[in-house]
Amino acid sequence: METLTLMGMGFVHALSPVNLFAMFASTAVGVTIGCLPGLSAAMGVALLLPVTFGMDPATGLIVLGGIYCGAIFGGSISAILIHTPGTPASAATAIEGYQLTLRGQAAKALTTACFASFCGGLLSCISLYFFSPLLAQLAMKFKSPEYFWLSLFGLTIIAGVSSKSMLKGLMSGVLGLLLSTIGMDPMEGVPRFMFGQAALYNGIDTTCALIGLFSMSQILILAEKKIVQRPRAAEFKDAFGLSGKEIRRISPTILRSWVIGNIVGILPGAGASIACFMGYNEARRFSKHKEEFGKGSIEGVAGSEAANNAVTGGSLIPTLTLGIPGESVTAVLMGGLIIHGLQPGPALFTTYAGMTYTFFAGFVIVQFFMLGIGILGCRGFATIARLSDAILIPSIFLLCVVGSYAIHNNYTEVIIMMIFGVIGYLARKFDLNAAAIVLGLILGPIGEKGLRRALMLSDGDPSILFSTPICWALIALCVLGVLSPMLMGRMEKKMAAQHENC
Amino acid sequence: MKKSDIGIIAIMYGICAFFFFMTVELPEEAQTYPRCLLAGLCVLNTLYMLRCLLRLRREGFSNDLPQIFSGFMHSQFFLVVLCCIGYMLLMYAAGFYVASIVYLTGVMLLLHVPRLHILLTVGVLALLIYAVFTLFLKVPLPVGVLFS
Repeated sequence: METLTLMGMGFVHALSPVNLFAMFASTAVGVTIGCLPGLSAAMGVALLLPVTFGMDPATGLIVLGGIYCGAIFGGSISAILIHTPGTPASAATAIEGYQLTLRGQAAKALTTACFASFCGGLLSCISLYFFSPLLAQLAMKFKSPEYFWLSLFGLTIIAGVSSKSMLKGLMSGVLGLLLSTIGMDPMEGVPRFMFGQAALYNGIDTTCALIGLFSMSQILILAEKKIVQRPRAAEFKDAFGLSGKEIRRISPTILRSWVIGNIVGILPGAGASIACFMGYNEARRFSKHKEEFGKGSIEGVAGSEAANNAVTGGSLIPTLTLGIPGESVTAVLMGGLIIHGLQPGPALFTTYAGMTYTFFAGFVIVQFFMLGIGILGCRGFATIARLSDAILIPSIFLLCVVGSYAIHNNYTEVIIMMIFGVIGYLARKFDLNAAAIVLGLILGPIGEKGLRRALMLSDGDPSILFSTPICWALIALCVLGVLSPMLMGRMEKKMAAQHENC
Repeated sequence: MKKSDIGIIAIMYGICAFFFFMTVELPEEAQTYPRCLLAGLCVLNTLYMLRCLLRLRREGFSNDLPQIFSGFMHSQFFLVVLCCIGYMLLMYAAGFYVASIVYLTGVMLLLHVPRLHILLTVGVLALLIYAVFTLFLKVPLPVGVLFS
């Protein structure tokens, strides 16, 4: 009953004019970022993080959620119209979507993508509402040793899964942990590795690191490539909308992709780019019109888009309840949460329940905005998708500078952002893992406090770290996290083989 | 083994050595945790090096740098980087808005953006930043030593 009241109150707060405007604007910005090939959802969320500083935490989180959902959907616009996925999450959409465009059915493909994204996102909110409080209750049993293992688990899973080499991923994570020690020692109160900079007293600012690693590094990546004019989006004259028969046809696919996307989202380490291919493959496997696949199938578009948007709600579950972001976007979102003074965990469902349920309600309403903006604005977004890198490079840099300067109104943050930009660029070039570095930075203080407090309580006896069944369960999960690249590698190979066979 | 692996291994050992040297200045109690992390990084890096050496025996040595930097536009890249650094210096001297207008116009001209697009981009960004950062967030953006 109490939860229902909180849910209701969440909607009441989320429907305030300020929040509604924030949802509209953030979703539109997210779709814009998503439809621009080369820009990612993580980059968008990181870049716009400073804009949320002046907002109420719930509104700030709604803005970040809007950008996240909008960007994941936005990738499908350029995938369908110019055969270039705006984000990796829409790679599978490009296969069938562009074929439909070539057949003069671009509007149908866009409507299908929009409708499937809306359904996938909306349905994923059900699991967000249902599973998050349950997992948060489990997290209430966690004490210092458990928090130490939890942070280690978060690190192993993201480091292991998101890079080609597990060792490189783990090295990135430990590097992030090492960088998180810059600043005041939390137990001894002595300065560590501060290089005489008073601005580093509280450690490296997460926002600066996020902007540098995801946005500034993108500028360097864009700057090194030859600037070419993107292809003109295909003209389309067919009408928007789906018939009842078409909706009935794609409904089972959407439901299937919702389940897939949700599971993939909840599992740390996977992500929208894997979910879209899984959703697409399952759509093809169960389709009664297999002959249409490869020539333009609305089921293919729906399968991919429903799955990648179903990831959004699912991926927030471990992020909000346990503080384990499964991929780079949720790592950035978690950074945003911490910046607003909120620590992921049970407190979000007790002390800050009002704020959390307002965010959840906002996340639901964002899906409706996404549907409206997607259908009404896709012609405009198709034009934006052609925006040259020559304009994007200085514009993004300007936003990086002003965003990092706005944190504490000084140049040190801007310099730190630029340093992290170079680290991010080199990490991307040499297959290190930027998401793991960020996660190390975020989880470092939690893990350090957990470890040192636990050792202090036990007078330095390390057996306290193995004293409860939850500790052992988390250790087992850490081992699984280390082994997961092999499992994911096999899964990807299997899917690639299936795709080639068809 | 790839050529880039040598760089990664060397940089990681360099970071370990640098931070280890820095921990010497810390009180004993504050040394333990960073040194544990350094030991972890060192072990992982050594494992990576061993794996690279095994690969060297199996597959030989290959130079992957041309592949990593394929299509790298040297002049464009360093021009953009220089402009970014120049922008930071100009912002300190002439303030945020003046420096931003000069930077945006300069970089876009160098990257051959049509003049109308430059005008539109500068106008839109200036308005956007003024609305969000100056009016909404009330961030005191730098005015520069010349105007302060």
